[in-house]
Amino acid sequence: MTERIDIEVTNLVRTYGSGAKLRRAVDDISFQVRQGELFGILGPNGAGKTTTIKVMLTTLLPTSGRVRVLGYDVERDTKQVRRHIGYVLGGDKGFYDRLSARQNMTYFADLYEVPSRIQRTRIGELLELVGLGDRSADKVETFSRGMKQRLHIARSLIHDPQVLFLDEPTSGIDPVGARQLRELTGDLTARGKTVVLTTHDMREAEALCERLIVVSRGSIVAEGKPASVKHRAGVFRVTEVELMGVEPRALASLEEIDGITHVHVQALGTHQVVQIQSRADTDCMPAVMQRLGPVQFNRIETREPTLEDAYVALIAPGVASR
Amino acid sequence: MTKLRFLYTSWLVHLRQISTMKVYVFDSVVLPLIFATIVARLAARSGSPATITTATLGTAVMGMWVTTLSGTGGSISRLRVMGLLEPIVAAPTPLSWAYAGNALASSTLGIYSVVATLLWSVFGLGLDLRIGSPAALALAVIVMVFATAALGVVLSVSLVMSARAQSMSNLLEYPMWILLGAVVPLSFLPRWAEPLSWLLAPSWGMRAIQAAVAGDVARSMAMVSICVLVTAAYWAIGAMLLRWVERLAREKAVLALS
Repeated sequence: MTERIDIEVTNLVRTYGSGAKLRRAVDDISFQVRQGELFGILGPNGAGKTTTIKVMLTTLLPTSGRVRVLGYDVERDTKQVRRHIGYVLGGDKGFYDRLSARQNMTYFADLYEVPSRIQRTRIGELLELVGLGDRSADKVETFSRGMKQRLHIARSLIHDPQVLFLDEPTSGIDPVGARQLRELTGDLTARGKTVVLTTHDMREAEALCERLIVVSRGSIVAEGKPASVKHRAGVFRVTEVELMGVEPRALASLEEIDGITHVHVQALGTHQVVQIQSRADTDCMPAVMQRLGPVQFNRIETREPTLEDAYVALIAPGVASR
Repeated sequence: MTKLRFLYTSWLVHLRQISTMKVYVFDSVVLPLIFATIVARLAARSGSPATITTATLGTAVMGMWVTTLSGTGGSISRLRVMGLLEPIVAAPTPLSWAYAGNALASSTLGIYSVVATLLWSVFGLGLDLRIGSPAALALAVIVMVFATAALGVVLSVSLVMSARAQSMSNLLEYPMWILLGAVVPLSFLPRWAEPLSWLLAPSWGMRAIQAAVAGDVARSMAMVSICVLVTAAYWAIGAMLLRWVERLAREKAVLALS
């Protein structure tokens, strides 16, 4: 069975301004998102993430290229696209602040043409889901930033969209709320919903995203699964071994092992601390053990490269090497 | 049906939102009474109850227009500042329906302006108001609500594109008073101004009000009919223009605040 493609972005270009002030916010990017996938768009501020999302949301027109959501063209089939997508653009705005959470939800439910019999149950369920059930009658202006963010999430689900865009969804939410949101996001994809996530939180992206793109200055600089993005970025695993009685010749031979890129030895009295830098996709430890022979190991610690390491290496190589 | 339900919800939401705003409450509560006091004092010198009544109702319409204009034009600025313009555009319901609810809510508060002006004129200023056909007047006022709301929607088209929508809408306040015939009879204006007033739906509503006050029910009904036709045309033109402007706004990226 072929996998359904829910989002198809082909050679998307979006510019702002004209003449000498022309700026290419998104510069010829292409990617696809499959049904039920949690897809990440990572990049620094001004990289073009939000512009890309807004084109998919139909609030910005592409300058050139083609964007299809659930088979509908964002330029031509705008209304169909809007019926099937939800989004959280984040921040503490986007509501009638002098009205209650429930009144705001009712307004958006009607705006999205949700039948009133469904509204009666769904509004309460969603407010409970985001932990605002007991504050549903309170005015939004009395809410904290985190509560407004949770209300954004409830609002985005009011019409049960197939595709959900989350732009920095955990921004301003406390750690417990952020964890609940991550669980909710996982539940949504388990139910076949397609989620596109932008975030600055690399641990969040690594934990949630099945595939992702890293965008810099409007272009894609890496794409794929988090592991392959790390590989593409050339980031390394670091293994630190503390041992006694090893011969210098054995240590020198470690650099000959395939996958090891650097070995650094530090003498600490009778002990030696060896730092071994290796490629993230290769397990070199069996070969290392064999070369070192029967020595006394006091400690072995391995730090796997994180998506953050890869991100920094891709976006700011100067910072990564420091 | 879902559209009408949304129109009702939108009307209610905007009414609740704007009725809690101090500046807006001043515009719709206090300002009409100031207008009424000034105009009634001027008209009282004529000694004609018909002139006094027509002038007083003219100030009521001025108040209705102020609330509609500040409600519609100002609401676009408010929607932008509150981060709501973009979410409303991103929904499947056409922008024109959201604006319609907004404009109707503003005009509904304008009804207060009419009632308050009449009560203040009679009980506060002691004027002798004589209304030939109260029923025709009530109908004319209701039609006037839709007419001013429709004019508000058409004008709001230009305001979608500018973050300075409020200041632009303020510019339209005084010329409209004159062209609607609210301050002085249209016959006082230069000849070239009269065709302009024909294009304004509320000016037909104003004529209907004047005829109702004079007790000329047949003329009032005729003016109401024309007002309804012009208002329907406004709604259609407004919806069409809003679709065009929405596309332009998506192209120029002016929906968000930044």
